[in-house]
Amino acid sequence: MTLLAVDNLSVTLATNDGPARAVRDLTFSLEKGETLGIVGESGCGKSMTALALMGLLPERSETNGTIALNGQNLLTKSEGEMCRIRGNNMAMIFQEPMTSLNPVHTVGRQIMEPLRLHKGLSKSAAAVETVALLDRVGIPNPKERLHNYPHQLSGGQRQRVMIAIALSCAPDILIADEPTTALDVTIQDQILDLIQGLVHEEGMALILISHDLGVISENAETVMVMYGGTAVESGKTDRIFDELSHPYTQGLFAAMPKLGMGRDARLVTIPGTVPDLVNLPSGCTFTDRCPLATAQCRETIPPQHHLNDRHAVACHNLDKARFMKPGELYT
Amino acid sequence: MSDTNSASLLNRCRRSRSFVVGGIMTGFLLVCALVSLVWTPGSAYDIEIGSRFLPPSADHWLGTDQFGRDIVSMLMTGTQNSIVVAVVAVSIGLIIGVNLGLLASARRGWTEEVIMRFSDFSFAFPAILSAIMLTAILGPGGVNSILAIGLYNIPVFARLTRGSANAIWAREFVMAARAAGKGKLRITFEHILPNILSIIIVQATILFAIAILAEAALSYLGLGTQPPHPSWGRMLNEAQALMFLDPMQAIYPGLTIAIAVFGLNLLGDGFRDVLDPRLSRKR
Amino acid sequence: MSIFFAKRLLTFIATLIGASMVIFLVMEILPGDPALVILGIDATDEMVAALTRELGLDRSAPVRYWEWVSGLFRGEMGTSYAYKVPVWELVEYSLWITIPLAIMAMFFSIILALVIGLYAAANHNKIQDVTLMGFSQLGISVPNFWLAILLILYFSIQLNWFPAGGFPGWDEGIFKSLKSLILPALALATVVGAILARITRSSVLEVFREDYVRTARAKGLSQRATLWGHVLRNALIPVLTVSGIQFATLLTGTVVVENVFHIPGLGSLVLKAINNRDTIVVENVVLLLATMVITVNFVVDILYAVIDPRLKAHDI
Repeated sequence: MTLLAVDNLSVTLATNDGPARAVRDLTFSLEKGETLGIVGESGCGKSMTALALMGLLPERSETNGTIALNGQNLLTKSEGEMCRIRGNNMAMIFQEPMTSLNPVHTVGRQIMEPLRLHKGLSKSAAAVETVALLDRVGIPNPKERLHNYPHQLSGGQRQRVMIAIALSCAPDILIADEPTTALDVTIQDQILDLIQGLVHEEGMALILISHDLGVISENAETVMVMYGGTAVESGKTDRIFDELSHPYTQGLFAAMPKLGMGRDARLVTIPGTVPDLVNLPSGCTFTDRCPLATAQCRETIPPQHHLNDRHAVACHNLDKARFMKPGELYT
Repeated sequence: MSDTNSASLLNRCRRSRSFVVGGIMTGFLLVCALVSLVWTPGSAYDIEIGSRFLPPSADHWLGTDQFGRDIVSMLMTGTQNSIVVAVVAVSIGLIIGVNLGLLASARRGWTEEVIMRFSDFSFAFPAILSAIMLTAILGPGGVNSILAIGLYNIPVFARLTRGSANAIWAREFVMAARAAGKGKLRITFEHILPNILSIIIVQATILFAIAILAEAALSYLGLGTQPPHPSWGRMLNEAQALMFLDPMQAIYPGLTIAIAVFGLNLLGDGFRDVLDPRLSRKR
Repeated sequence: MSIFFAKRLLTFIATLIGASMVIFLVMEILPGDPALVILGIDATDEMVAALTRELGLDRSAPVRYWEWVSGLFRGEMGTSYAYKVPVWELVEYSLWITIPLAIMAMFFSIILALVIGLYAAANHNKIQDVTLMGFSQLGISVPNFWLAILLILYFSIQLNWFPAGGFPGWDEGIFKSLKSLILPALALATVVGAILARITRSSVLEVFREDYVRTARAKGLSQRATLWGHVLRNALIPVLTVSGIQFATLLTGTVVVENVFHIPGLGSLVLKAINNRDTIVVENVVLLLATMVITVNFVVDILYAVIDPRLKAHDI
């Protein structure tokens, strides 16, 4: 059975300016041990999708569709049942390690919390387990660190603690929302390697969310490119990066500075800005910024073209897009 | 930075319920004070034993007190007293306190330490304690209550100013000004002060409300404004002795104080909404 | 940690000394001639001279200050000019009334604050929240002595549940004495409680928005478990600080409220002393009140460090 099957997921947020469609008809799946990368600009719905999976969306929101974890629809579960799943079967780490830990509790206590909650461990048993976890995530002197407070740790160390917390109950799925964005570049690789290593050891599935194409290409087997709340392209990472298809994906690539560009070459940008989620076009969300957009794009939702091997692209003008290079679409 | 474009400012004024309601209530207060300078429905001063304890009527809208004085007139005239005490006391606090705070923030080091220690120290002496000491040696009177309340306001303004000013000094446009060679005094008045003005205005309004309460308390105790000048606090004191005879008389002055203070607090909230939307985070 | 404590202790002692000096300065030095203040303007020169000798006011200021302060350590506050009894006797009796009153009032305010503040935060932006916050706004605007009068009018005169004033004395029975302190404590507690309720509510709401609350929920903690385990301890820190400051408000409030209820506490004592021009009593009572405020602030500072581990590390 598929570990995670998301079908037509839609998330609408209630804002002061009206309902905002943060996620629109999103469908994807995740197998045991698979690493899925979700990439896109800020505001494209990546984090909202993650929060929807965990059931942690803000109160004034509406969720439709199905999220099936091991065949069970999470959206029909009660809050109490979701509490038993969070941190237990599904865990999440967030972007800001500096503020994601409670400043008045020791690090040890915060790691022991899910252990005592879900596994019913006693304080001493949980402490032993915690020391082991701290060791696994690469924190030196774990026995002493147990009694440290978050402010005594660096950003990288705090993120390791977050990872330890997430792993504590051996979840089936780990969701990492921009885990390294707030960290120094030198630490980023270490943390990503750590996550990868642990995920493979445990045989967990990983959903890695990032706006950084480099991070995604190195760490995810499959990738889903999101824009304006929808998945515009998805498939195996290697394939997608080889056969740049969707205009947006091509735009992301064109915008990356490349070695050997030369100092006088200007950086390419995708014209325009991220769409206002309250006023999305009824058709393709990328319409306003797409160099190939037509009237049909704005009106009708683009169909999913299934190219070989799980590669799906949602575009009306796919034929044209496939045969153009990023340098030609965006100058 | 907040956009003080006049059109959007007016818009924010209209949209803030606190500002509108508070503004109306405070405005009403001011009008009463001004009007009472030239006219009151009855007399707040004349003692007419024959007309004691009259119930509300066309001549005396809220009746008369134990000396036959018209209650409405006393309340209106009392407005003058409360406003004058509050304005002068808050002004003393503001002028001295803000300057001390600006000085502390600009100079830092020893100057800041000394000034801040002093203001921390002053918190041990709430307004009433200072008033008690002053009255003990100088005797009761309106001036003493102004002094005591004003004295208490100085550290409040000093701390607030220094705290906000410190935040502005660290901002990049100030560092740019310093890099350009501008002196600290100029920067203080050209950059720091305008940016903390909204915080000061909000705080001043709230302190105004507190000053009215403090003045009422002091007058109630007999330490403030002396007879024959009407003061809401003293009216309450006099009414208390006669509580059993005429309970309503004990209610009016207190109600007036509550309304005045409530209106001012709302106005303070309103100023916060209008002047710097960033200050009024979702409460 | 010990450096932190030592620093705070030093500040505490320094503040106490400073306060006593200021009080001494204002009461004895500034008026020029303390004896004249006591006797009033009509006094003859001989009367003033006699009193000056009697009270030892012809000695130098530092000597008199030292005598006063060292006397305090021995429990001596001098002799009341008006009543000719040791000041300490008068103060002792009043302390046993004012302190229980203040504690009761603080207790009521904290309960009020927590109940109202938490309930309002839990029903954020719903009608309960708006109504409660409206009431708290009113609570801040109302003079406590007027509230006291209203309470008397309703609970004493109308319902006859509580005495309208006076204090029977602890010998008459604890329950009876406490009963006479309830209305005054309520009058005091309402204003302070309203302020604290607003702070509790906004603090809880702010903490709920913090990232670590999101982390706690992601771990599988229910809303309630998150509230008790993570939110409260952080949210109550600012509430604690403000409570300390509000204690000063409460204490000065007792001066007024005791007057309304004709309770012979410190407040009434000092007011009578003013009317009697008994500067010695005034001096000592003001010092006592100031000391209580300073001590409470000191205790709050220390508690603050105990609750928030970030302060123990940095020498703030």
